[in-house]
Amino acid sequence: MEEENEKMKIKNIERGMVMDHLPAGSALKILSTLGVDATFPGTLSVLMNVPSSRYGLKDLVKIEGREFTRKELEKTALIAPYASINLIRDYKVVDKYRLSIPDEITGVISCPNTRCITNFEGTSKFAVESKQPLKIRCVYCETEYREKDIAETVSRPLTKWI
Amino acid sequence: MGYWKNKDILSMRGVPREAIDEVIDEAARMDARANSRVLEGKLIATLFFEASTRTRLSFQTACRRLGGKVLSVSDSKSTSMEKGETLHDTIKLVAACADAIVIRHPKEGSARLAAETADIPVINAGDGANQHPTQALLDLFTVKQRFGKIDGLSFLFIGDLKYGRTVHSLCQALSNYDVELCFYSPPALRMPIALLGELREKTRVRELDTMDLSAADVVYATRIQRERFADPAEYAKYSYEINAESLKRMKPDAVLMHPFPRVGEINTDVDKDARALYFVQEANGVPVRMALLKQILIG
Repeated sequence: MEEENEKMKIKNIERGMVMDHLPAGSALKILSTLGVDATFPGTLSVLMNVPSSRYGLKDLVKIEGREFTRKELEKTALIAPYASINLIRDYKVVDKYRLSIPDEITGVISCPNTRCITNFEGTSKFAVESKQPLKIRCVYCETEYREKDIAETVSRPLTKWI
Repeated sequence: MGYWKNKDILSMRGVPREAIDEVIDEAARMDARANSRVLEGKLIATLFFEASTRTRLSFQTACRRLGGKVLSVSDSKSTSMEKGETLHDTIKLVAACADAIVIRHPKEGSARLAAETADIPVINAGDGANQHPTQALLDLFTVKQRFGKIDGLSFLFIGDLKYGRTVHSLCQALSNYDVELCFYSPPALRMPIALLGELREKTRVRELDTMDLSAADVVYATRIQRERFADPAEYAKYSYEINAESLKRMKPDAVLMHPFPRVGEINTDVDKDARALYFVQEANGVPVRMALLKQILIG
């Protein structure tokens, strides 16, 4: 991380989190799904299409002043299944974990099938049938979705900042 | 034994062969004309929020033949759902009144929502384009009744395979057996790719370029809805009719099935052919649903 920061000339953050190894070009979609907009109370640094030895290109987001819980980040796990989250305190990484896709996803994204009952009442629920490659199935209408379908679907923000 | 006791039946996905065999074996022992008291004291709510003739009547008949009583909704306009009440709230009330629910609803996944809401068994009688599990069971019963077996047979499905819930349920059930599944449809109404992939993992699957009736043991025709096509010319191109002439291309011991209603796909000149099995098929809805109700409510 520090080596990357030196190369990119981004200031280390004192307290916050870094979302690393995001798919190239996905950062804005991820921030949108987390409900980040102009009213967001923290400070964001967004890097897109950064060279990565592992993935070729990646995105990276640094967030100061507000941390997201694992549950809040679950939604982004569908868009960035290989993301790693670094928690920063006093300019140091104190915790690091990979976003993990749970076996069942409830109320995070809506079902893309417009005829699914969950688009009219109740809460969406998906069974994760495969994590790599990502494959989920709506528990209700039984429609299967893959990574590309999910990335296109995830658009509803999680929170509104006031 | 006893797989279905107190269980919901919502989908054929994941239903094991043994469970299917339990129902169709019990159905073979049922007399659809005899009255008994097996379900005496039981109240079955049949909630049909979508049009139905045979499914609704055969469930109600099945219940009454077994001595049970029926609470019936045959039109959502007669309920508070017309005022905007949710399915959840409707099911809560019905579950407080009845011992089991049979539901048909236009939204996919509605039966599962009902099952999660109710603390009594729920039977899916058709949820949008998703599943129609009891139709699959009666279709399998009909095939076994005719051929004495299901393994080793070849099936050809024709028509609206994309939105055809009966085809989806039946194919998922058939994937438990050693069968060949062939499909012919207009390009816009092909079987869902994901479902084909699932079926390919378990059994032999072929998509045909022509409506070749010559190889199948079971030809399963389904209705193509005109409104699925924006272009009437395309509908005209792909609408089909099986008639006496078509039957000459079928094997002499093959059968023709259709979940009905038919709207021109099968000419009435076929009705008296020994291979036309659809009237037997629809009549079998009663003993199969009798078997299912008994197994779910009594065991």
